Amino acid sequence: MMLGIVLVVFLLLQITPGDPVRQIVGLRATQEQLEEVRAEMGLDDHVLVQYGRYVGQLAQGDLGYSYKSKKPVTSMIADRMVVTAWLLTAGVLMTLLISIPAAIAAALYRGKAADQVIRGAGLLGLSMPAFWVGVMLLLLVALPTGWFPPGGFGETFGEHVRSIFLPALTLAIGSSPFIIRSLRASTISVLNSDYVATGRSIGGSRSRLVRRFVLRNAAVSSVTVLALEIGFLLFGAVVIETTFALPGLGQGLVLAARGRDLPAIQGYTLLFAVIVVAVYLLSDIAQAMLDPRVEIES
Amino acid sequence: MSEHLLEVSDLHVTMQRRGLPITPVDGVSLTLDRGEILGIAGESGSGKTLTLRSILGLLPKGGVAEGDLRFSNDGGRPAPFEPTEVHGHGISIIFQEPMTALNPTMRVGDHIAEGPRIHQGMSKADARTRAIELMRLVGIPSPERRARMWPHQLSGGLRQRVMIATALSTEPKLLLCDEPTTALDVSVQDQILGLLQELRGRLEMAIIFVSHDIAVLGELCDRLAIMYAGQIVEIGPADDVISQPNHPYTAALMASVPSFQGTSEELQGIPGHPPDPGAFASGCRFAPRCAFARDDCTQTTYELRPTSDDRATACIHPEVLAQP
Repeated sequence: MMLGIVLVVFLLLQITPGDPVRQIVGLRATQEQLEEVRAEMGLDDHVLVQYGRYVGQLAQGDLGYSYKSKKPVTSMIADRMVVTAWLLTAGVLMTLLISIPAAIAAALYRGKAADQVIRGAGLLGLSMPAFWVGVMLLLLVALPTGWFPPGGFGETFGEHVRSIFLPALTLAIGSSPFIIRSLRASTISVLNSDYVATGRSIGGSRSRLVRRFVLRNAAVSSVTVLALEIGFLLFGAVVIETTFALPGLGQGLVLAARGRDLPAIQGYTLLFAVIVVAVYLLSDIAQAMLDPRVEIES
Repeated sequence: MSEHLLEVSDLHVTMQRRGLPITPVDGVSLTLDRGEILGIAGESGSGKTLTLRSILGLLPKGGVAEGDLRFSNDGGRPAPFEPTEVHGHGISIIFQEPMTALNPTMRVGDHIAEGPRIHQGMSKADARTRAIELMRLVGIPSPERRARMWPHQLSGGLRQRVMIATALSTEPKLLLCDEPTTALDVSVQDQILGLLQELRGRLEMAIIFVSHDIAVLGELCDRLAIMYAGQIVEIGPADDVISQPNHPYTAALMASVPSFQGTSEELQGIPGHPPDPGAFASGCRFAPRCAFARDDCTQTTYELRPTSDDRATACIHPEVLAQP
């Protein structure tokens, strides 16, 4: 499967217009100089030969060297991955912190004022584009209060937390509506189930009922939605990292694409694909942990 | 006779169906003594399950129960109650399908321990010990091992026993049974019925048992109520009601089930369909399907009339059933 992704990424970049060698040597270089660099980089070989070479290197964990910075793509990615990992983790945590209470409240007070407010807010969050939310948070929160830096990632742990807060909130605002919707629906169906009737008949407080009988069952079907959502968050990160000048993978991908830095683009795209596959795998594992009826066969 | 355990007077359940109110339970009154087993029989949609669920406030979304319900947990005069006051304090319930009635993400031991932890403030360890005792009480073999299992790992019969153990964990005076044997195969059904009868004797617990299975009800119950179209049409000692029906519907119901004696008379269906709760007939609701219906049957108002000390019928012409 990964090999298929490699092939698609590789071919897509071959058929897109623009000559990477021209980007490297500059507009004023002569045709001879250009051909010389092309040969040096092996870009005059047949496409299949180039592909074979790329896959061969990949198997050894080598993503090649950036045309621009001449640095190994693996080390470029490693630096940026830390930032994106922060962003995604914080974004998912905030999504859950917003979604779980909101969804449970909306389901418990279905059709009442709380439900309407939560659904309205969800619709609002859904219809605001991420870059706009990001800019608004910068203008309305970061600049007046000065609590959060307007960009960059900082050096220390504390600075990281402050830098990541608003970008993660931006991600959460965009993704929470989906999770709330799914979790609200599954909570409602769980609340109508026989076993919640059993739970009610045992007695005890409503919060205990929700904790013991509702939450885990409702979460089972929403885990998949969360995994899909993380996939989207990853691409949301491309926009948000640019808005907040975070030196993460998304920003790296944008820069690499602008410079037609083929090895870097391939590296980033491949990594994104790996992350998405890994997240789906994790969601299957999480589902099996939440629901004892699901068993993973190796 | 001392005070009743439970008194239900003029219970109505209204629900919304496509925006229109319907009344699937329409004026049910009954009483129950301590330690007594009352059966409620009726077709699907007769309102028997809704009657049962109303007692604990467990109606489906949109269902509203109105009526005078009184319960006495301590042997005194029955007093009105809110459903939440008797959850875990005197009344428990078990359902038809034990697979869906057990929380699929809770180990069965924890499930049974939930009541003792909430109401008796037991520690986790004590409640676990209590759960294993209860599992032994309801006849679950090797309870220590099974307490750690998930509901889906147990057979249907064991699941229903877990459900019963959960219901018993709060030491109820009244156990409501909503067709608890319908989803089980016949041999397991007998075991569960035997268990319920034994528990009634040991724990002095009253039972209301809802079923459409007359054979099961005849075997288990002291008294039997027959429901039709949201009303009780006949009530009395189970054996009498079954052998000498005082309502044509009861008689038709008995003729439609295989006989206990195994004689080979032909089974009789009841002509027509069970009435729709949105369009009950005026007068006697069974009249349109009744083989003995007369003109005045459509004029009468519903009332359970005593025919002897312990029997009552809603039929205004019960004499039509007298054996020639």
